[in-house]
Amino acid sequence: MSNTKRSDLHQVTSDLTIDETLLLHSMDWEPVDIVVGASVAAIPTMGFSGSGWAGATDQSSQAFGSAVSSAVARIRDDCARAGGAGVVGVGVDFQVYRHTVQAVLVGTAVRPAGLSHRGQPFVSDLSVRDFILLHNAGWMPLGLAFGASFVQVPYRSIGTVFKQMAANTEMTNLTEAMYQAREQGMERLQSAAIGMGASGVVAVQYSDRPLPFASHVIGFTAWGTAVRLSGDGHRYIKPRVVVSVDDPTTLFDLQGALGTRG
Amino acid sequence: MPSAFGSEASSQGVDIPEAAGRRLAAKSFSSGLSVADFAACLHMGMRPVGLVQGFCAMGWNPGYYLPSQTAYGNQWQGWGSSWSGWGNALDTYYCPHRIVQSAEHASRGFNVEATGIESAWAEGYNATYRRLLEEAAALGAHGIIGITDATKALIGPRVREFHLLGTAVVMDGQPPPERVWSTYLAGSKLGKLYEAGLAPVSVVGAFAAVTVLPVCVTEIQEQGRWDTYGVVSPYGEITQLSDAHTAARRLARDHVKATLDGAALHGADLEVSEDNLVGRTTISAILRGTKVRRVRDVDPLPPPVPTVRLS
Repeated sequence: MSNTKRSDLHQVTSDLTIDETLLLHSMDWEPVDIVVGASVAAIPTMGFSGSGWAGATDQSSQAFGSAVSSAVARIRDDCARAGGAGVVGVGVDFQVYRHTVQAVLVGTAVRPAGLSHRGQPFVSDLSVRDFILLHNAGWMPLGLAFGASFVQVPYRSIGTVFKQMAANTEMTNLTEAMYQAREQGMERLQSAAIGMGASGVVAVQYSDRPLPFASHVIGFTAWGTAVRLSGDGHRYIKPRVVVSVDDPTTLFDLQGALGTRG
Repeated sequence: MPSAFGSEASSQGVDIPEAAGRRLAAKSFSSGLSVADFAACLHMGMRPVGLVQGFCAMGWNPGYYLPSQTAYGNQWQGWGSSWSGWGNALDTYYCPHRIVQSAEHASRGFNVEATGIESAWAEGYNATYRRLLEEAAALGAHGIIGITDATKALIGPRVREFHLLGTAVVMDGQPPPERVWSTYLAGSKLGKLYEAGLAPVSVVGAFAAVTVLPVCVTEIQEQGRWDTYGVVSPYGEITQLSDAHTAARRLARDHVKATLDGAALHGADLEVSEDNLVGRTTISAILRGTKVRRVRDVDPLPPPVPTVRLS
């Protein structure tokens, strides 16, 4: 590894903070370019189902899948063109509208200093700090794994309605439908990771919320960074245990010194 | 056509207001820095001399550029790749149904880079930036730190105001500057930048806008309809929209890169919005940050030591 090449900042764009840039340099990596992948996929209206959305739940999961995979492919292409080994700190933004699903990924391509990368770049939403910890522990990120599932909240059964008049009761069809959808979303996440040859997914984020235009439909989405061991085994990073001797009550508040931006 | 700001070259003959002259000539300073940033800035040998700003209200008429859907469908109004001088066709999408172009059936679709709007933004930003530098130069400042910017619709959608505000600093004992440098950073972040061997050159940014003139298939998919001709699957990706969303963001990046002259863009921030200002979906992206260059070679930090804190 050469130190001279690190100084070359020629035409680099980066949305990393100065701390992240310095951290990256400490492991002899460098930022290359801001890279982008965005995709929109269609959800067709289903047959005669009144509201125009009921029953479109499978189609929505399918649309979500194709928006996400195309966005990932596009950001990968962008990274490969820039000569990056992978993208870190990817901001993941997806929106579900009545007839479309939109996925947008933006991050900074990085690589070992001065080494233009060939081959499939990785895509990860991990921060530089987490990327370095992962790297030092002997693991490598492979890509973003996604899973989604949409479920229409069922009405209570007539039996439940009567039971609920008399006592507390589990709404079994609700439990079943939503439990099933949660499991399905995670199963899709997991199989996406297996498809990449990963042994697991870290930093899984998870959201469950009703769709803004159809409150009777709940979308479950899960995503995270698929990882596998890069060498023979996990390396224990041996953190040093520190005890702060600062007295918290007399500590000067330096919050403002963090700067206004970046 | 300029589509990025950060250059001093421009624009109309508006001078900085008279009040600015009086304010800047007074023997005191004001500063937008927090107390901690103020302290950090003194520590780095920078003495704040005044709060400086630039402002510009910019009006434009997207009507010239408005691509029309006539009785003959999406109209091609230009020659080559230029759209009446207001746009730049990025991609063309064709109807898979083999139907003749008409008002009912758009057999051609275009993603158009709205260069007209882009240059309005660039002009507004550049004029603002030039005025900011003028105020700083009037104070004999070396640089401007802790810049904040704002742009918003002023009165109606076709007038936009641009505002840049920052603290001008003098570095005592240094020779007078050839050019005033500027940065969004302040406080310890700016200090770390210097420690890393980098120095700010200027705030830079770019605006990019892509207008979508949908081809029949895009329209069908976007509205959740089924293709009555059975050619296009209602499922799956809407390529034209994906391309537009990707292109707007990449164009903003590429416009910024065109102003870098071999330097780097640090701490960038990307903002995207979608509107119907010109009667069609337009995706706008603003990318801005601080242009930095290397002033000395430094060794990288030693590998960081992971710690666990006991309290």
